[in-house]
Amino acid sequence: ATGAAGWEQQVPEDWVPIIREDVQRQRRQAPQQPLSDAYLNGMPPKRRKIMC
Amino acid sequence: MANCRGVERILKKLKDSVDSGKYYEAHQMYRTLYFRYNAQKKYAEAIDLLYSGAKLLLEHNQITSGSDLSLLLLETLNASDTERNDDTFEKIGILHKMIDPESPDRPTFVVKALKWSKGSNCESNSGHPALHKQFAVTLWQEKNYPEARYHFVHSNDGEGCAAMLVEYHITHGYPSEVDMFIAQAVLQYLCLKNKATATVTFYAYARQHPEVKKGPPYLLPLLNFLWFLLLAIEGGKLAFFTVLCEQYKLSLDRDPCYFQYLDRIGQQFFGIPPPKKNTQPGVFGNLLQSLFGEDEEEEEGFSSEVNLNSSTSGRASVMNSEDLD
Repeated sequence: ATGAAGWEQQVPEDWVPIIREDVQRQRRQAPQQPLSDAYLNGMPPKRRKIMC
Repeated sequence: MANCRGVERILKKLKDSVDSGKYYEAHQMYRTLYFRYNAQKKYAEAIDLLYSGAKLLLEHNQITSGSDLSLLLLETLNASDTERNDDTFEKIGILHKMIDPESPDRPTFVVKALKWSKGSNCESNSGHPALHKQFAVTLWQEKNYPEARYHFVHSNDGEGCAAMLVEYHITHGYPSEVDMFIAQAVLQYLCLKNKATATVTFYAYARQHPEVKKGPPYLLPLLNFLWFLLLAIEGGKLAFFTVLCEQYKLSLDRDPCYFQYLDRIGQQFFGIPPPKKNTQPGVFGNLLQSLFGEDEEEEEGFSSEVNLNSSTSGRASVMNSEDLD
């Protein structure tokens, strides 16, 4: 894995605060609930068969 | 010239038969004329005849004979070297729309038409984007979102795709999937190397969806990921791509397909080498090839996708293998 401060140097400066905030937001996100049929319909057919 | 007037006279006669309800006779007459034209290699005339005949019969709700002539039209297109242009795609689109959605001939018509539309151009593997658009718009009007979605993803109509996805999500998706509906489409477009349409679809969806707050940047991390990803592809920097996949992992894990799409996107846009083949011939082995692949696997995945809502999904595969002979 890249070091704690590693990735910030790899991307444009103006991306950094946005990505940082998103990292925090993702940690607060509720776990993914089961997906709707409408969404599952968009998956490649083989994967859909496995998921259903 | 005399010949030309003759054709007009025959067409007029045929129209009169149909208008007066002599469907069977008219149908047989269209077929007879078609065989005659075909034997003489008068393909343009045969195409005009079949198109007007199919349309006329379908207008009179003669679904079986109408779709029979529609299928003959596709065979004639295949036999001739008719140009693949918007005019012909539109005609196919009109017949597709007129054939009853429940008719078993419709999936056959779709598969054959897409096959013709490819021609020798191997770039558009699953059929011409302009023809996919014709099918997508009709299916969307019919509220057949899953099939409309499939054809939009193979078209170049990002604005249409976005508007359809907004409607599909609001009417059939869960509120928590607002960002996932667009992520799924953008990543699939990118797997199909269609960055331009991926970009148009992304911004149009974000702009039009009432539940997406104005951006970029957006309040939803997955949307920022897509925004950055499209920028990273523009610059082609592998480091950007790697950082994004790492920092947004929690969002990307929400759909087990996302990292598989991203593997392919990494190969296509950032020069990542493909994984060694056949190390794991498991169920997931040819998963993506089934939708996006360039090999023979594609045919199978493609036709089962077209038959999404049909109870007999085996039918098109059988038909396909016959066609390949």
